[in-house]
Amino acid sequence: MGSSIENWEGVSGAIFMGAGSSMPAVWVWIAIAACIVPLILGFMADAKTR
Amino acid sequence: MEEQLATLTEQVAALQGSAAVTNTMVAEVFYYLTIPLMVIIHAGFLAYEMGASRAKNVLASGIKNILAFAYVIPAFFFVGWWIYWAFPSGLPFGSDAGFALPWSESMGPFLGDNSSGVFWGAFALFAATTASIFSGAVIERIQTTAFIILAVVLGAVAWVIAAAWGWHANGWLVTNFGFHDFGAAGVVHTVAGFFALGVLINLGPRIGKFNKDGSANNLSGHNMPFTITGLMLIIVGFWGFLMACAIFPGEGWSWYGDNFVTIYGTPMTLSALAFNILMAFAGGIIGAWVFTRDPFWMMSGALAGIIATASGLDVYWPPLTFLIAMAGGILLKPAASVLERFRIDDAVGAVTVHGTIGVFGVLMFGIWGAGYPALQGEGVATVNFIGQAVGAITCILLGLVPGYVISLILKTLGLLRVGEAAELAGLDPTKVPAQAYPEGIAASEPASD
Repeated sequence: MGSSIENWEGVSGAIFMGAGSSMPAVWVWIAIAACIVPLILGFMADAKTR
Repeated sequence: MEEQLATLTEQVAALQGSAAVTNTMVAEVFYYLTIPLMVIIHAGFLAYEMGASRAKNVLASGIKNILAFAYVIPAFFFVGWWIYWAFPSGLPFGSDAGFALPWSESMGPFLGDNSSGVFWGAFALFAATTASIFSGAVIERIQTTAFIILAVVLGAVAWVIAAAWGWHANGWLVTNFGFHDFGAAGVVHTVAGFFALGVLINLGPRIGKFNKDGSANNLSGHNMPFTITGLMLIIVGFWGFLMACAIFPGEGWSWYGDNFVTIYGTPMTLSALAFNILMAFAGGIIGAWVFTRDPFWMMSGALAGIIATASGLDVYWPPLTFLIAMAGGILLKPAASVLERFRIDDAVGAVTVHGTIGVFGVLMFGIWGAGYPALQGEGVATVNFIGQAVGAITCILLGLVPGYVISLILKTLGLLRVGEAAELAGLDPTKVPAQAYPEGIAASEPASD
């Protein structure tokens, strides 16, 4: 994603990586998936104690 | 003369600018500090429920509690914050809550927005608190992943809808019914307590809790001092929780320039909180002590005292706070006994302390706080008993229904509860790759001369 900021002088507004592009939304969905995958693995582990 | 006036004008403008920056920084720090204070609540619940577990389940209970925190925080980022801002009028149609969507610029590093992140952080910890409340009730037999799903539904959806409706200046419970719940007795405690009840109905009691004749056995936890210390930590964290219920003055999003207000925009002071929280804490302990003499219930009484008065901590007269809190402490044990008569095994008294006493607190404010304007301005709804009752019922349903339905689905799928063999052996030896007390927990002998 990198930085679109070349100089901190006069910078205001969003300063996170990928601000203004579609990438932040993509990372949201990847992070949601990263929550769900361990949950699926957790279900498989829980199956041993059913 | 004109030159001096111009210089003075410049100096005043500079001072005003400087004061505004200072105010913004102090406001930001104010909410930032509520976050670690509320993490102490979570540490308290962790100790509380680990102590209340038998030694064979202590680490499994801890894992469950830690995972509640870990999953509720991102879930609140993904959906919870948006729900709070989108649902006040009932449903999100036509809402302008796009700023709270997880891909919004306000949801990340953003110069010029010193409030969104710290407000979100404080609310995320409210969310984690609801999950922690629920966590203790279901120890020693719930499956970890089923618990995570339920915690996420509670922490990122159920209580947030209640907060949007009753803990927001535009919430329909507030604008239409005059609902007032300053310290979230309803929208946090009642919702979480009744969510736990909904789950407990499907989860069932621990093996050995009830006899065939319906009488209950006491399945004592392995470490009462740990539980009591945990409860005291929760009380410490409550200062952060209630601090975060106050709106800092002097900012663009503040109602007043010179005074704190409640989340509804009604004036208040931190002094009111200092008076009332301490008096509630004391009253709850004494109330529980009178009838139980039991340190577990006494510290639960401290919580009950604060929850019983939470709705009106901003305006209660401290001696009245003390008495209502004392009544909350007195009510605890009988209310817990009623649950046991229905064969509900609430391992830490969460349904009673948070659910029953939460409803009690909301209704008490309908009696003692009747007539207070619920919002700023002319012709606004005023606090009244019916409005508080409508709010309490709404909070009960927002907890009980999703808790019951989701846990019923999990139960039907065979995912809710551990098997009998695992429960009898203990969840630590069957699920946890670590040992809580590798050297045992026997007391050491004193040194000889």
